[in-house]
Amino acid sequence: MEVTESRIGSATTLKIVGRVDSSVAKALEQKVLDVASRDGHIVVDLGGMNYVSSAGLRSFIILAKQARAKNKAIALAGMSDEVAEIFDISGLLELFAIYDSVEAAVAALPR
Amino acid sequence: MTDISAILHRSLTPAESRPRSTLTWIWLNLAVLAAYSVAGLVVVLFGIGPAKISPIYPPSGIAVAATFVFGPRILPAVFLGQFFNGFPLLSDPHTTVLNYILTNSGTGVGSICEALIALMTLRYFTRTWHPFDRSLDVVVFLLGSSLAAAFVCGAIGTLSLWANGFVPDHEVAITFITFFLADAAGIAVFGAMALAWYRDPWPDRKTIVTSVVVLVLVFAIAALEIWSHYPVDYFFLPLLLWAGFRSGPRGVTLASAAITIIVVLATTRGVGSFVGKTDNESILLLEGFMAVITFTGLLTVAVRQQQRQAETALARHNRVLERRVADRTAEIAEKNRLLEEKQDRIDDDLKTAQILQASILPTDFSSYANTGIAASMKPALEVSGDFYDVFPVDSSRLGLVVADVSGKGVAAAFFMAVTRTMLRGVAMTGLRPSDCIAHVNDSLYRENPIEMFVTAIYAELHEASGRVTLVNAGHCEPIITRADGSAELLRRSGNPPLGVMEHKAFAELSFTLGEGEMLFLYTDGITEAFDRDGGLFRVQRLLDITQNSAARSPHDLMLAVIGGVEAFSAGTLQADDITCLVIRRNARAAA
Repeated sequence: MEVTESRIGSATTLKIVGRVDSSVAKALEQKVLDVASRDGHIVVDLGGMNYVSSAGLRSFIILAKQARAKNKAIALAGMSDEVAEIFDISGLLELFAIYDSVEAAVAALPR
Repeated sequence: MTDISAILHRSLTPAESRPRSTLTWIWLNLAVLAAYSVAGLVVVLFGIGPAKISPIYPPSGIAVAATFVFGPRILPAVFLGQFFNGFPLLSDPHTTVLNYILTNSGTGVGSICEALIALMTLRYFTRTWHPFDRSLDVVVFLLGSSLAAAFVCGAIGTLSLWANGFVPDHEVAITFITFFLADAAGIAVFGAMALAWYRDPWPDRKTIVTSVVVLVLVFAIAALEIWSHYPVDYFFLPLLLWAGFRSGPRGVTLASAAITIIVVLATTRGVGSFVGKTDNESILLLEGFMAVITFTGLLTVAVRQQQRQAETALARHNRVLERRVADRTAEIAEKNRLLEEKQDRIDDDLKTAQILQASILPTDFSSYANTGIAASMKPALEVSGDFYDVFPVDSSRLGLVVADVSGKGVAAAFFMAVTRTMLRGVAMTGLRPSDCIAHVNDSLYRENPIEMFVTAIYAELHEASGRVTLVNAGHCEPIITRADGSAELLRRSGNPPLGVMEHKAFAELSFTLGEGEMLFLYTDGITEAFDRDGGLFRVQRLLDITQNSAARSPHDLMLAVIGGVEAFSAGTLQADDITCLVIRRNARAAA
């Protein structure tokens, strides 16, 4: 798993590439807590994430809960059908705003 | 003006400035007068040639040392001493009472000026009374207190002698030079010795030995020179340095005084290296030798004293440093002890929590005759965030739970206990499983200050029919082992974990467990266990193990899975809690 962080306007973008399972869940959790503690909305680019395990999903739940507690919008962008399926059967899709691309997600963020 | 008076005060302060009664001052003055006079008599012994001119004048050393120690109030003794020391003038037939008084008053004033200049110079430039401890002090003492002071005294004294007709015009220059140099030598040799021995009057054994050896060897070297007529005066130099290194200022001043006396006495008798072609030449040669001896001796001692002071300071700093290190070490040891105590308390608490946690998990399933049950929970840390539960919902149905609280450790364990108790309590009210879970979800969502959540499966098994109603709240997908040996995964149905979203409706799944078929519930500690290379166990491996389990007991299946995981992750640290619960619908014995 690779995580790169960048800023587009006032939003923080996290780009996750690779498999997200228990071997990297701890690192991802630290990263999302770090991002959530800062100002600005959050867009997670999942275009390069090909798998997420249940341990990996926990990081996304933590991110969603942190964002909600701090009144931030959080969007997932570009996820593959397989990943979308995992989020769906895990009941987590409705925690996030889902977009096809990062650009669409950024454009839809609240001002 | 205050500056000048402050400087004067500082420069004129003697080494011993305590107040004394007038009577004491009179006695002190008389004592110094006596010493001055005795030293004056000795000068006669040192006189060279028919004029009995001495190359060294010890009384000036006495006067300067006394002024250093007692201050200006000792000056009457200096004046009177010098006044009476003029007695050789009485042998001159031209001497009258008047010109004796005038001449010796003049030399007396010269001696007073000498003593004052000596004291003020050293005090002003070095702030000490003891020119032995630093090389700078030695230089100031020899150039200022000795040479400059004697220069003034020589000038005043020569002037008095000349004005009263005791020195003819053509002898003024040579009289001044011998007068000045003899006084300077007196201060440098005898003044220094008096000061060194006054500062430290009681000699220890070592100093006594040094003194005796110095006196004997000085005498021996002189005897050797007189006997052999070889110029062996350079033998004095190592002796002088040895005395200085061994016994400090006292040793070196004693040595230079002894050497001076013996050399002057030898020269007066016309022997030794310093006998010149004329008396004045002899005197100047002696002065040169004395200058070298005193300068070398005093400077050597000063350097040695400075080195000793540096060593003492270093040793003191070392001691301070060592004490500080010891203090810090003790401090750290104490902190360490407190930390260990604290760690012990935490360990005790964790052990207690572990026992409590284990005690709320059911382990005896023998009362469920129609259902075979096996369960295991293996924490990664002392306490676990996983749990399982088995309880009768009513007379015909069993409640089955496997859950995994986010995070690990004490917080997870506490949240686990809350969830377990809440779920059991709600289930016993007879609500259908989806409603039970929805209820628990809302409660956990509301009463959850640290944003934790739980993935859980809650299932109800109707023991008679084998009908299972199951709600999977974001948890790992259970496995059903079928009678034909296949193992199938029960897909999730879109329910989120508990405590994540409020007012959520949860979907149920229903299926029937045939006789001999098993339901395998577990946590992701199994499917996401690592091997040594970081590879994951995965669901597929679990399916492989659970296949063909028709003939197995729940306990055997459980052991097979746990054994499989342990073999897979051998050599790694257990990363997550590992929990499983196996339910088997037994064949009806009665049927």
